[in-house]
Amino acid sequence: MNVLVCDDDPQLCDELADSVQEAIGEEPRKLVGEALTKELTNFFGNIKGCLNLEAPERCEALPPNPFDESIVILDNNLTLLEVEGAPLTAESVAGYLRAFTRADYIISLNLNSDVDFDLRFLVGDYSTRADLALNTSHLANRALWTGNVADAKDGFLPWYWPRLNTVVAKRREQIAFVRDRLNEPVLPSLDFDDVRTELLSAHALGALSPTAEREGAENDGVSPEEISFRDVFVARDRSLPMRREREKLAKALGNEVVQDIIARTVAADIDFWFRRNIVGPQEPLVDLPHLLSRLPFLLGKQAKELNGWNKCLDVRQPPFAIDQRLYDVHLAPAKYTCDLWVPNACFWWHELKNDEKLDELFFLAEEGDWANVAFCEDRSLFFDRDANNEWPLEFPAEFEGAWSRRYVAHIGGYQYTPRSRLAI
Amino acid sequence: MSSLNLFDLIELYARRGVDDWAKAPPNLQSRAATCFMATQIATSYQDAADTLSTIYNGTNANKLSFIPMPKPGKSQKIDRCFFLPIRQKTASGEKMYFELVLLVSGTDCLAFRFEPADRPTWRHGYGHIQMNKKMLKKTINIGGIPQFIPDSYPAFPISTSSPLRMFFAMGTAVHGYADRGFAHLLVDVFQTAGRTSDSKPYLAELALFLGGTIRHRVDPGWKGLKVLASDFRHWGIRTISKKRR
Repeated sequence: MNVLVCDDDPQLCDELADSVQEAIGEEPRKLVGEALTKELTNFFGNIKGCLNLEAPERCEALPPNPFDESIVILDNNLTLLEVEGAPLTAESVAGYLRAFTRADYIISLNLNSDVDFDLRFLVGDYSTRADLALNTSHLANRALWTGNVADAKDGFLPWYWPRLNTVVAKRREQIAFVRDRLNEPVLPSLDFDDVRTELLSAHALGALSPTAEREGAENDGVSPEEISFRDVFVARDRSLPMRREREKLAKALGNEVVQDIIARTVAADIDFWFRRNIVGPQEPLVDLPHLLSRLPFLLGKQAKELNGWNKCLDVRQPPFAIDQRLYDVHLAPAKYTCDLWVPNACFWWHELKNDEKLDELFFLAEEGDWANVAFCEDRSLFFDRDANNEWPLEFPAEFEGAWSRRYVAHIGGYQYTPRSRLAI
Repeated sequence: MSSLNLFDLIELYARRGVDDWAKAPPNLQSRAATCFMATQIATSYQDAADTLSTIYNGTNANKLSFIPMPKPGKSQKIDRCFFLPIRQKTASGEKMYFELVLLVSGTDCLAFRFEPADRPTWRHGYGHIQMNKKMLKKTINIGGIPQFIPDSYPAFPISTSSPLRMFFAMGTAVHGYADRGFAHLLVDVFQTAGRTSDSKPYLAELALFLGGTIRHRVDPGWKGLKVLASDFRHWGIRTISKKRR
């Protein structure tokens, strides 16, 4: 795995590198202090050509640089770097690195060290411009890299963490997907037809484009089905904060380098859009543990025992420990097909909900056929609700929609933020 | 497995109602406000929880709010329903009953009361439902209710004085039973709370109370007989354990 850790402080950089090595067994590359200053200074010098508002079509590819083809881990505090102007942070450079280098995945470290588990939106830190915000202590948790519960340090493995050993391949696929469709509408390309689009929350539509407006509204916004990937590039400021720059680049249609910039930027935006607006709220798509929580009979006899619930989480291929026939007839047609955008297999919930046969099977189940379990988002496991009085703890996440009530095991020594949500 | 807990159930049901009410069109909200005082409608989970935990003593009506019920289906031709669970101390413990207001259309309303049996020697000595002109012991006037309706009779028997079953009667009256009716709503409120398996005892109790067929779409024959036998066994177990307590 090609990992690059960047910090202004050599000692802290060594600590980061040691944490990564502890988890993945390989020493990451390091870019620290003066070397980092030099690379960033060169980088910002080189991208001036592309940000030249007079002639963005002359934008040229950057020379090879240390950020290319890596998972880049940037400590947020870069104040010791001797650069001109305001002190740098990971947040101030992450978007530019994404747009102009071939960095595969960018992690902002210690943006908010009070957050180990995000109770608000189940994404980590929704405000980051990187792909993911983590703390130093998380890097040594092998489960962050593998997604395996058995590797989880202290049992801590937020379900919303991506598996870092898969993000590079996934991001490259996502970029290629967007690159092939820059002028095509986003939602139909992602398999959202009119009915499915109707099920998106107002936040989800607004996050694609601030001018997105549902049919029937009286103003003159854009129909969600018409928003193209290129429109998303212009609308979203997570990578390039200046709208004028984005507008100019979006118009440089003949320049292949610019098309790559747009594809990288939009791929990261859509990936984040899925995590914040679809996977977090579990609507209109639902992934396996949340689906089983809603329709326990899918597990058949396994639903009686806690082990049966957790066993199915280890299976990553269809039929996911569900009865083959039931899966083939009812679940497979509702499976989300663009699965490069979701971390785990997902299904269209409204289609399953409206399936009369599944409905009948639900009502046929007897009291006592299902263990009384809850899915703990912080451990990526089901736990018995009857076995312990103190947890799983219920909390309401902050997103729109009906599925905001979730559970955590609340592991000691980890910060669950904001704590106030645990008391609601 | 949790046992039947009416307060838990009403709290989950109220969450859905409050959420739906928050999304109601402004026109509907303003029409409701002309029938009720706006402050009499629960607009948060806390309002609903406060209502549920209040023992009404004749002086604390300000702690009670009409709880919006989940949005009815279009075919029901009722714009929205609200209910008020009322708890009162009695010599023998506590009595609970429900008042229900339907905002039918425009500002036209109808109201009902689901009441447990009065004393055995009284005329209303059986669980019943009757129409209402004024709510909460005749202290709250709801605009839009026709004044010609009789509010003591007819008093339809509902074959129960159990608060849970009265709540079931009210929920079923408003939402229907199967086909996205009250039974599905019960499933829904537990599913969204991440507690799907908790819905099962309530569904079984609802089916027992109504003689409902949704569990098995009762067909005559072996399958239906098996399910009926299982229902009977559950009823037996519950009755025996109640007696033991």
